[in-house]
Amino acid sequence: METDPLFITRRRFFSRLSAGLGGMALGSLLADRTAASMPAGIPGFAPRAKRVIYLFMSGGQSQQDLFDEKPLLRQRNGEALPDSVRGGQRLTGMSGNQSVLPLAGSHFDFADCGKNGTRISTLLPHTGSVIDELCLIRSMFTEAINHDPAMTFLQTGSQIAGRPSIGSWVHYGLGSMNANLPAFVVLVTKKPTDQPLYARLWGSGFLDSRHQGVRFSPGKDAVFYLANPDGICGTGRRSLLDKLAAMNRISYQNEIDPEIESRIVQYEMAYRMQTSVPEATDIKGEPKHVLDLYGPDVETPGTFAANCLQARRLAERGVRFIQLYHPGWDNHNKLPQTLPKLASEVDQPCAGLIRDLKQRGMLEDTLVICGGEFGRTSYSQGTLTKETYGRDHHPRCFSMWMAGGGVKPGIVHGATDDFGYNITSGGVHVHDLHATILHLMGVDHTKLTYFFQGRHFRLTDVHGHVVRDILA
Amino acid sequence: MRVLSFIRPAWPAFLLICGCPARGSAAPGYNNDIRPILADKCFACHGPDAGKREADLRLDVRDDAIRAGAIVPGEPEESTLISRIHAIDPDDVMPPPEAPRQLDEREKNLLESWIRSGAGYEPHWAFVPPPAAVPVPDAGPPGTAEIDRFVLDRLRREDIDASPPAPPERWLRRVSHDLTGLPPSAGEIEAYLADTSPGARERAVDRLLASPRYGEHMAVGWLDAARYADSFGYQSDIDTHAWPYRDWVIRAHNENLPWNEFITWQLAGDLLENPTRDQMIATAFNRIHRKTQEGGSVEEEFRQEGVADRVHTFGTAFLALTMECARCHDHKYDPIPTREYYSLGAFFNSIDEWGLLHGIASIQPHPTLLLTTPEQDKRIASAKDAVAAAEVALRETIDSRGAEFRAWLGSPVAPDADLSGAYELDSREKDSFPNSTGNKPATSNARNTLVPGHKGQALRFTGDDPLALGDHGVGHQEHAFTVSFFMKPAAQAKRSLVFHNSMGYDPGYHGFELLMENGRLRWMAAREWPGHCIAVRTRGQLAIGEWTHVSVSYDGSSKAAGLKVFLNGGMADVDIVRDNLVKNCGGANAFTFGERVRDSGFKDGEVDAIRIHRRVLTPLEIDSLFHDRPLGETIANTARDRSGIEALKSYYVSAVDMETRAATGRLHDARRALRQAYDGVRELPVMREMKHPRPAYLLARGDYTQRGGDPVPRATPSALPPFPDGQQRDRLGLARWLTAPDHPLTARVHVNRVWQHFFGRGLVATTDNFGRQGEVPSHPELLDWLARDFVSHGWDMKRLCRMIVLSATYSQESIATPGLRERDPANILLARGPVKRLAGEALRDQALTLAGLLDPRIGGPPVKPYLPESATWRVLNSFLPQYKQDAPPDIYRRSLYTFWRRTAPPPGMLAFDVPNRDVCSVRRQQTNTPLQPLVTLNDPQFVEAARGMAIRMLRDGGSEPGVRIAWMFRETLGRPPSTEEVRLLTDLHEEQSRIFTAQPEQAAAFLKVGELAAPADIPAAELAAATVVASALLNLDETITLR
Repeated sequence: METDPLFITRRRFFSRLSAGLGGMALGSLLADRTAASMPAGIPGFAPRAKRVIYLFMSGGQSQQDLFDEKPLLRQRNGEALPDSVRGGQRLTGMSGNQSVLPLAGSHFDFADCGKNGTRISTLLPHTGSVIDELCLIRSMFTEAINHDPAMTFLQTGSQIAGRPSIGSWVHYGLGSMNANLPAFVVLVTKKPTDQPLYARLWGSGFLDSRHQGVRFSPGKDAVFYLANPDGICGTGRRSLLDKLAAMNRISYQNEIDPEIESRIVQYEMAYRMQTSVPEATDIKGEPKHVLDLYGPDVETPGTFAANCLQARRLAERGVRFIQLYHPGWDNHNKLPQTLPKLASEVDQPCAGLIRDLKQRGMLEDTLVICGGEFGRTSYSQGTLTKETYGRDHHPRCFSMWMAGGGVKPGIVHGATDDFGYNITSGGVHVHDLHATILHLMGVDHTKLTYFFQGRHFRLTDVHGHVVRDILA
Repeated sequence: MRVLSFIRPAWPAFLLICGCPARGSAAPGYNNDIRPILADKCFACHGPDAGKREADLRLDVRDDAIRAGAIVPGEPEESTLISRIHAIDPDDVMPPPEAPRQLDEREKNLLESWIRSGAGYEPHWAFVPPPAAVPVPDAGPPGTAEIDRFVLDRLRREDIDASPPAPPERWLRRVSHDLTGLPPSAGEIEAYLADTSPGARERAVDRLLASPRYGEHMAVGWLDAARYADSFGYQSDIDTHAWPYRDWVIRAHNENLPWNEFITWQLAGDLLENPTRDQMIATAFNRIHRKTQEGGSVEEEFRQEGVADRVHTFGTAFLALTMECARCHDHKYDPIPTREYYSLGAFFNSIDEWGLLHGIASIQPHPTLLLTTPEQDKRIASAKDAVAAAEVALRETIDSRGAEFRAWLGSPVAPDADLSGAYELDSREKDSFPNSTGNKPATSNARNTLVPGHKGQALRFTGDDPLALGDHGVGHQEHAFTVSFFMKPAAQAKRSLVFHNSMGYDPGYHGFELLMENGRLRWMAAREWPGHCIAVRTRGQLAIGEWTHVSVSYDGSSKAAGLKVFLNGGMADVDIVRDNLVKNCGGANAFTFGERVRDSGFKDGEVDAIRIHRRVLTPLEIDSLFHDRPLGETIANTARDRSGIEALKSYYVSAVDMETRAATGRLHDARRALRQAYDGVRELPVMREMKHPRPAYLLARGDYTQRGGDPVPRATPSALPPFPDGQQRDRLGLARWLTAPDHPLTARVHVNRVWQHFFGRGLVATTDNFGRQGEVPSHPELLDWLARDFVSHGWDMKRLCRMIVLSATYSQESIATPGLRERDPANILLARGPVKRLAGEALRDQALTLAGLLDPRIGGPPVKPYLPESATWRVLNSFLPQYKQDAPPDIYRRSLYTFWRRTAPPPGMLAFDVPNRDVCSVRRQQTNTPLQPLVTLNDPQFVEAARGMAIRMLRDGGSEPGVRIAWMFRETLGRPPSTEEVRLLTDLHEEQSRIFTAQPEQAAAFLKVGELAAPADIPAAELAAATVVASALLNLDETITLR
């Protein structure tokens, strides 16, 4: 934690200063720091995952077409969804007023993959080829039915805006593992978004704002305002910073306020980030066989493939939580026409990331998570024709996968009914997912709390159970 | 690194300061010592929440705890509370081993000695009104101000000396920033230093309070609380256009509107007698919460979210209570049952609103205030006069046509010039159905099938497939028309669309529509359902499975009375559902039967023989259509008695008489002119109470589908003073209750927030929580005195601010000796002056001021200054408009005018802890991170500002580098630099000069950052070097921090 640039610590800084400050208020300030910044009672059980790479499939992937094969839907294609299956569950206003809800069988084939013959869509051949590394959860469920609340729920544990994101909680609870990069980095695929992404999805909510995710963008300013202004060279900037530090030290001598020393340190951290961030994001040194793992898009900045490679590079450099977003999965219509391209955008990069982490020995302590904010309906939104169908939002079941970081590889957890509508076993609620992620990182989700407005807040609110069945 | 701690008083230094018994032998006090332990460790299971109470034991009520044996006063050994907390057996010990928060030894001892001393309970301080007269301690020399006497008295008890006064320059910078958000100008500093006569400080403060910058600066804190933003926040993040509210907040501060009125206007301006425009604008306070328009959202779910947000904001901003905790269950710590939460919500749920926004951004959510300009008012008034005159003229014309009518009687019937669509629906060619008028045919795909109809064939609808009739020149609110047809519904559906001529993507469409709801027809012209529309509903139900002839007409009057429904030839009895249409209702201009996107269609229903007329058909014509009889025959068969003649004359003037038709056309034109006069009028969503309060219900777990049985009454929380007799149970009554002089919270909460503004920390550090889990006041008597003084002096904000900044406490030197810093790191005791990092807005505004660029214009639409490409709106959200950066001088306006897009706020502001305005926020963090230097060193706004400073320095600062640098230093910090500081900056200047002289292209590039042109007469290298020096000045800790 001492080395996190967004988390400059008093301890480090006082150890530097203490000589100069004589008997200054070391004890109480440390206590202050502890009280103010450290969540109490992070228990000591050993973490399985040191870091997380979370691949968020924004818009909501269609589980029936990718991970959860439902032959019955093909057999009964076009028939109305039985009311008994729906059981009065609410629908969105987009299809809720439709006169009929026709079952839509997937147009895509599935194939046996891996040692256990796990059935995966042929749209995902690369993912299929690493299935023995994955823990496939077919029984995720959520409460929200619209994108904004559902994404907010998955990323913050609450449908209502204003709570800290998972990455912020993890940063707050565990701190950073590196000196020169933010602990929580966000990478968004550069493509037209169907469903918008918002800064609050990686915001720190009521936690201190230094816990917020820092979005890296492709291009010169990977971080907002990272690059020197045009015309300012390294020497020039250094000369400015040196004089600035000297001036601030004069202020420090006058004011004796540790905050000033802290500011001096922050300016140095910022300067280091100007070098470390471009270094981390520059893939020039990557050998061809590594690039090839991620597929042909990897050299195009901003693609999902490029971001997956960035994620590995950031993970190597000690970034604690790396959040990727890949938008576009909101297949309300023309699903058979749009899904193949979407799948191909992520398939090889996901598999490449797993292989690359594995070959470096990093998969063991890196938790990779992949999935969207909800699933999609087994019935067609809009008219079902021979050529096409669409699928509306479906909160009652969807699929995700996890890999590495202490989850059982090569298993399938949970199941859904033949209609792909309801969970029949092993349901994993969003709060359970969060509890499990924290558990894998060595954190008891009930003890990672922050006192705000009279309450000890948690990522999991007052809910959540660790899904023990998937722990290795 | 300094965080205004959100943390409970847990560290040793604080406990020492609080005078806790750790130091002495005094018995523990309930409020200060015991309640925090019980609240944190016990109340979750043994507290106010009846739903979660274990073993039927509550510890927050003394009698209950004693009755249960948990507490035996004076006898800790007999108290089960004590035996349980010391128990060894994991089944017995409390809190249970799995509980996340355990008691430590100190806490156990405190509980024990508290019970030994009698286990006294005290009411929570914040729920008890401050004493009517708060004794002011005798401290300090004679003439010492009250604030200082309270502070000195406490310091005396702690045996700590106050600090000496800050140097005058420092005090002036502090007070200028705190009151106006801007640094003092060099001239102001000189004038102040030169003024050695008595009252100089008072004069300086009065000057600042009178400056319009005061209102702008003080508005910012309130806009945080009001979660003001320029966009609604969810998915498409549509613009709010709510800036007139922001401008009112500025105005109210500058005009020093008494704070009780400031509160009342915002809560209930619409309920005041003959409210002024400002009183109405103020009520936007309750309308600028987030609002979604995401496709398929459930309206009631988000309407309830809106109401919940109003309660949350009310609770935090006025009461400093976490009301929102009681939304799903009884409050765990404070005496707020869920039922009372919903009773408070009942005050805020009765406006005629729709819970969702519309995809059509120009339609502001009803109710709205029309923000007409004087010119628009004039234009609207004269357009209304013209409509009235045209109506009179039409009546007179009709009355004058007796002779022509009699002459016409018996003439053959001419073809109807106003018939624009006639579809028999008997045959289909590909997807098209002929229109016998010769106009465009209707179209439908083959899924809607032809079946035997009322006459010949009819079209049977799937409910998901439309029959499109296209444009008939009808779409605006002034258009008169009639749609007639036979219909055979298949079921008594809850909602089923018959036809529409409307726009929109979700229910809550804009335009004309005929719905069948539980068998009744609803005929409507809506700008926004339900509040802004006219609608009627038939009393009788249509026969299911039988043919009914329906003819619905609208006369273009924008009145519900102008909506008519005829069933089987006779006028149907209708109820008026809504009668409020001011602005235009449509613009879609196309009729469609049977289906609408995301609506319930006319499933399995049949329609036959559709007619569209571009005027209001008369009964005689409708009768003819119903009987499917030629009009000539109907006319011939009409008896020539009194009523027959009347019917014939109605037909004649409507369809035949050219004079009357011309007069009707002139009325139409006048109505169009009126509509157009309204078209350009801006609107602001405001509160406007419904005639009959909407019932409010307890929602189990906050779920909009889990409505409790009976409605809950409007009521204020029972733990607070009773609702005054004789006050209406509405928002105005609520405001009167809230601003009653004896209210225990309102004034305390406010003065505390003002104190936080000036000292960086409230007397109650948890500005947002005065509940049992909040911190106890550091100076309770001072808080009470300030609250009483504030109220008894007319809730006068400027007076309060003036008193604080002139106090010796505020004016102290802020340097802390190491001993004092160790004793009181957070400056709770106020033995020194405040230190605060400047807010994001103030940093930017300060740079613009020093650059001589700040644009002083007040108010108006938000502006869009520089933004990095990767932060522009469409990068993460394709629904948003392009970010189009404004030109100077708009990009030099104060930061509170920067467009605040909730889903993509400016990163430079977020880096400096500006809250994102999603929800009410009354306390800002003060972090110190490496993202901040990146902003102040590299953001073009700051680079450009440094150049502006450099230009000023080179023009006005003298001729020699050292002198210039000293000049700029003084401009920036208000004090002269030391020799060493001059030397460092001069060295920097020389180094930079060398670099830029050697690399002229770099200098040129550097000077091109931002819009401000580099003057041609200043050598580039010189200006570039001076700019770097200015940048160094902007980045000094002393510039960033207010000391």
